[in-house]
Amino acid sequence: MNINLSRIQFFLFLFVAQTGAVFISFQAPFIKATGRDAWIIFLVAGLLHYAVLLFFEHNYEYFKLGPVISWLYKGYWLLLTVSFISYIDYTLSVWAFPKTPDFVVIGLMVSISLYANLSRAETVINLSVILIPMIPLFLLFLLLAWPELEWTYLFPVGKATPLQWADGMIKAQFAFIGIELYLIYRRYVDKNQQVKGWPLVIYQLIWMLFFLFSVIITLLYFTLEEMKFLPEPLMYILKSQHVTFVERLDLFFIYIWMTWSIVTITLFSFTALFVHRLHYKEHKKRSVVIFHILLLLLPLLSLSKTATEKFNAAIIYAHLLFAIVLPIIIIFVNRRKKA
Amino acid sequence: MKRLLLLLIPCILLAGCWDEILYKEVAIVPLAGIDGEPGKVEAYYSFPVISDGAITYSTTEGEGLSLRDARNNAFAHTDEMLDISQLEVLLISENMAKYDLYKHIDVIFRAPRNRLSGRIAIVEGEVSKNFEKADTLPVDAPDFYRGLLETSIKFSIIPDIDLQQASKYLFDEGRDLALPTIRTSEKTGFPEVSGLALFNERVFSGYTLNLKESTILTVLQKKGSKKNAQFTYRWGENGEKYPITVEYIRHKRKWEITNEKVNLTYKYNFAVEEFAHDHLEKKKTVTDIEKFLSKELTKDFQKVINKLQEAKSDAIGLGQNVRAFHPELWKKGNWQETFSKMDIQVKVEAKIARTGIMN
Repeated sequence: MNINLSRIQFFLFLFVAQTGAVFISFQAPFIKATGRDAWIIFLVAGLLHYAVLLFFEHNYEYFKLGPVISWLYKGYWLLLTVSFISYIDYTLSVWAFPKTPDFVVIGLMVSISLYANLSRAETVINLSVILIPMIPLFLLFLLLAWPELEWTYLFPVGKATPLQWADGMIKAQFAFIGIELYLIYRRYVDKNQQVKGWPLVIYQLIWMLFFLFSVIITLLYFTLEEMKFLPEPLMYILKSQHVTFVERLDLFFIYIWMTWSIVTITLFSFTALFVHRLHYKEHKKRSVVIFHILLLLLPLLSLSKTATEKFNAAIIYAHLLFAIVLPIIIIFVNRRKKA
Repeated sequence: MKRLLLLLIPCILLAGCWDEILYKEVAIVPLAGIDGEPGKVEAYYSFPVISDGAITYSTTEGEGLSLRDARNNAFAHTDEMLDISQLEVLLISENMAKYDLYKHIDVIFRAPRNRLSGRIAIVEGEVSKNFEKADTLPVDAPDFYRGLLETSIKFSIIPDIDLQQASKYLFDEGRDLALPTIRTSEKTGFPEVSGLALFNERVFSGYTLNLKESTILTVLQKKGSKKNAQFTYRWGENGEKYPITVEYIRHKRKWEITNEKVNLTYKYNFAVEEFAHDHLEKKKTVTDIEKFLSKELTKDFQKVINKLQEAKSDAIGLGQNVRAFHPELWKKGNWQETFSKMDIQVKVEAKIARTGIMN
């Protein structure tokens, strides 16, 4: 299957994949690990993110997946999507649907992904467009907390220990998840459109400002003591806001997040199936259905709070392997071959 | 594919049916009260009932190990399912507030359905009396208590604190909580706002501020609205006394914090609301009044600071700045102890910026 992406489609795809399920869960473990210096550590992590993007941009042509490695990647994306679904289902059951059976919620999410993946590739690629008005809406809602922000919560700075820096750099990887998709889709971007240089800088800035904003607003709103027991601080900020048009702003927002997450699940499923079709062109529909049956069944095994947390913690290390270590190895091996 | 889409749409609409809660199945509790002591919590709930086509408020109570346990116990006394998700006012007895406040109200923050913009107040005496007298109030009890607190907030007599902010200050080592106090008026027999209860970390210190002092604290605090805050004094000239009332317009503050001393300077612009002497076109009169107000306000502000130090309650939020920018001072030990022993001096500079439509 061949696809052709415009530069904007490519960056939007990447942004949604990178933000999707993690953007409400990322702040709590990150701030817990780093303390008040979280925003500084994230700025440094952001530079690392840009370095990775530059490396990928420079070498994406050498990133070619053989059948064996592509199975590994498919397994990783399957696990990643399963961990997303488990987390989304757990969060929804806590915040919105405590009595709705898990299989119904999971079934709904997976069936949307199934429908999109059985459709034409353009359907999935353009699915992210529906989120464009939701992203500024989400930021706007968070800004309602402005009068309650306490700027002294950002200080003193420079108190993080080397151990906190190391832990922080690991926890910041939640925001990097999905970066490997750059290598998968970069070659399909319209050759007439420039990606390196300013477009890449702008993408990096959008990504970084989005996550940095969420880290800073969390730090400014909560004391560090409160952060110890709030797994979804952004949701809590929204829950605390009083508006006249809706009783629970957090519920309004959780539907935005759910939509965002479903699109992310669809994008990762699409990527796994897209890479699968690079090597196995037959039985397209059957692969899609099997993949989605797995998505439906596997999350049911890890729906408790502990299992979800353990799964999420483990995913970071899988991400480091598949988004950083393996791409570097594959690129260097292919470069040597070419040389 | 169209068929699949047609199936999906009703599925999405069906999701959440399990979590549907109908108003007719629950009794929304807009006013609740807590009394007792740890391990023996008494909870009071006021909820609407419809009889003969009119809405009246009924009260029930429960007792238990915790607030949730007490609510479960209250189910035994009522045919309604009490639901505090739209709580507007939470009353806590001063006796109960002398124990770790957060321990009693954790349930309110833990459940996602609960509204956190409700008000919280400390009741002088027993909470039960406020519920017993609910029938005698001029309006429904929840509306009465909410109105009572919100009017005082509108005129900056008390700080604008809701449940979420209260919880935040309970966890902030650099700022203590100050909650409005409610008592039953000896004259009218109705509840009234009597000032502020000062907290030391998570417990009520036993010290309170009266209405004038609580207005001063509201304008001293770092954050929050100070709109409509008014101060009245008696200014004299040629042996005659004239009451003068000024209203807050804006202010600038400067905090100078060293390891030994804190100097707080506040410059306020005021509008004259009432001054029967008139003649504010005369520069000398204005200067005299500004000096007079500066002196009186400095004196009263200092008294409030001293009271806060006595209560070991930094309800101004000095500790937030100390923690952020003065690490040596912060590390001296428990901030409330340090705060209580520090030399804190306040200076107020008043300026008459508006005189109304008369001079």
